[in-house]
Amino acid sequence: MFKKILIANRGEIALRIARTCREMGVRTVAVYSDLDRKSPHVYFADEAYPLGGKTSLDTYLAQSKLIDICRQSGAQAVHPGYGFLAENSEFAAKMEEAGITFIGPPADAIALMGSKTAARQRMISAGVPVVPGTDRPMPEEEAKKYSEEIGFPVLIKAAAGGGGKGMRRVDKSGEFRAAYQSAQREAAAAFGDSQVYIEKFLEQPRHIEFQILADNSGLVIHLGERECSIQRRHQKIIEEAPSSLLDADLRERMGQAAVKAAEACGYRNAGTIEFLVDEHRNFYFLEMNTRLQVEHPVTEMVTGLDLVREQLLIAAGESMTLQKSVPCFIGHAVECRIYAENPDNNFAPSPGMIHHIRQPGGPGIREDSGIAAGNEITLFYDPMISKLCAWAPDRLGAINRMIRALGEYELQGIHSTIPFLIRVLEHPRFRSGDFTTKFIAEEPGLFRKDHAKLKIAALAAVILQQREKERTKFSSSSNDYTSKWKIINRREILD
Amino acid sequence: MKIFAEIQDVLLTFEQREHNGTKLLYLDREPLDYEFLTLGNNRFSLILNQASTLLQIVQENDLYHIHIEGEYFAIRVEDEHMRALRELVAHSAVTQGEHTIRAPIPGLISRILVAEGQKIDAGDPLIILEAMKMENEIRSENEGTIKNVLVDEGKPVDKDQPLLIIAPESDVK
Repeated sequence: MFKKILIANRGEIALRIARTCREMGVRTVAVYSDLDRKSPHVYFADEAYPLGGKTSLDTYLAQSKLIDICRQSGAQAVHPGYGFLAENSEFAAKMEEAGITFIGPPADAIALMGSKTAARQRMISAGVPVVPGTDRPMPEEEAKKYSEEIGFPVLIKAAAGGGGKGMRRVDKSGEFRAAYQSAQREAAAAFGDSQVYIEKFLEQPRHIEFQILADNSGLVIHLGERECSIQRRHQKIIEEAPSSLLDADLRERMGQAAVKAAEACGYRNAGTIEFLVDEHRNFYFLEMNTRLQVEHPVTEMVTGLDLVREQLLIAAGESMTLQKSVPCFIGHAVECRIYAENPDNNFAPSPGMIHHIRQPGGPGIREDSGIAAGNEITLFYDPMISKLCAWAPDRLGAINRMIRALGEYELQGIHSTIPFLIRVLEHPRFRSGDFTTKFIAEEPGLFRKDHAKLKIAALAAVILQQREKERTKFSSSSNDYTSKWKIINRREILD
Repeated sequence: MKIFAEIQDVLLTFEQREHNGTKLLYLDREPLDYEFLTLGNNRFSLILNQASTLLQIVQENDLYHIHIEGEYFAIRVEDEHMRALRELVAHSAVTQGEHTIRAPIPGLISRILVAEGQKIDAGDPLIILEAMKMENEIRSENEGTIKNVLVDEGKPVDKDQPLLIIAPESDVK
């Protein structure tokens, strides 16, 4: 096993990786931007090195700085987390050249799966079903013509993409141009590559993905599925395992397809095969994420494994804990992603200082966050501030536990998506398991507030206001009333 | 004295009355039996008719930001004197036809979709503001004519920075 590794990331995932390292007796090297000096991932690590700068490009994406820090600190391996350099094949190759182990798949597997169009071609030849669409990036005119042929709606997707960035749905010809150009701009900003391609848009799909692990001997196993259909603007917000849609037969068939997909690209380490499942329960390969996923904790909770530990074992050339795929799960797990966004204002980003934070606890709860009081949420990085997971023997138990825990979460200084998440979890359709990726768009009721709580909140505000008034009663402020009244009276007379 | 708590489109009217030197709060003519304790760190414990609630409250002038068991409310509180005063001020103020579109969040001006002198309808997209790697479309709430464009594409803006000035149709000849 490694003696020391560098974690090339920030926030909750950097802290989550460091926690497993500490349990395994592996020393950790943290890196940080100017804005992150006070972040928990820095003070939790054994060693910490400044990257100098604020933007992602100057810091967590600065490959040469990271390689220098590996050399300086004597780190034997790098864990990239997710985002930033996690799916950058050039970085993985540079690491291997420098004699530093990249804790992830081989560079060529990242490159293959990073090109969504090349991945589609490989999957077709491996016999894994894919969503109908173009097999390469296309210029605007040609892409528009192709879309008209296969029929709207279509999705314009970034060839280098993932995570919903650079993706646009188009319902008719007239909207094509604006959507194409907007997708290109977003793709260029997010991935440094503006190429896009076209996929048929499935009307009522579910988004279900399979976790796989592959060791150095060529053994590939799957750890079952995660249900990720609850999305907003193509961003996952609630994930669970298992999916209420799958039975043993479909799970077996999709699991085998996932294993086949990983084998087809010579995969190693942890990865995720994303599928869309249509209303007839046909499944299609969507893409492979060649990294640890944000939502990996739900798989950990229902399998009992620590995926970061498995990643380190595989990268160090040791054997994985399991030698065959997981036939069934233990209980049910739900994850909620908490974003610094205001659900009352169309989910506008809500940057600001965290004045107070107190994470929930109690039975079956796991919280992964990388922020503390005194930290500032800036517009420089991802707005996800915390992941809350709940486990229970059955699905409704896990959902109820999650609602309880979200209600306990104390967070002051910024807006968060907590109120919205609770309403999703309380919704009868979500609870019944009958939903698709369109759920949030279809349910305007998710934006209504709880009136019983409103009354209590109003009372508290009134009490505070009255106390404030008592306190300032004898100060000069009372004179203000008189003067303003006088002004208005004069104005009324003049009118 | 009446005290109003306003939350978006809901208005709750409380009343404060004095009995033997003790001030009591009423809602819908029912006296409220409560205990309200400050816990520190903007945390408060309210027990109302034995129902116990933890609240986090951050005050910003007459606006109270309240987190209560995972729900969030922004509540404006004013008593009847304050309310009467505000209504009078609003009534007597000269209504300006022009209004300014401001940046709802800090970010980068990704694209400006309108030009000075252009007529616009309510709901028309005006500016694309990029923040946290996502594109956000700013739309017009009213119809009118673009009088001034105050920002440039590719430039960062702060929260509440003026972006555009819109004049009502009749103003621009």
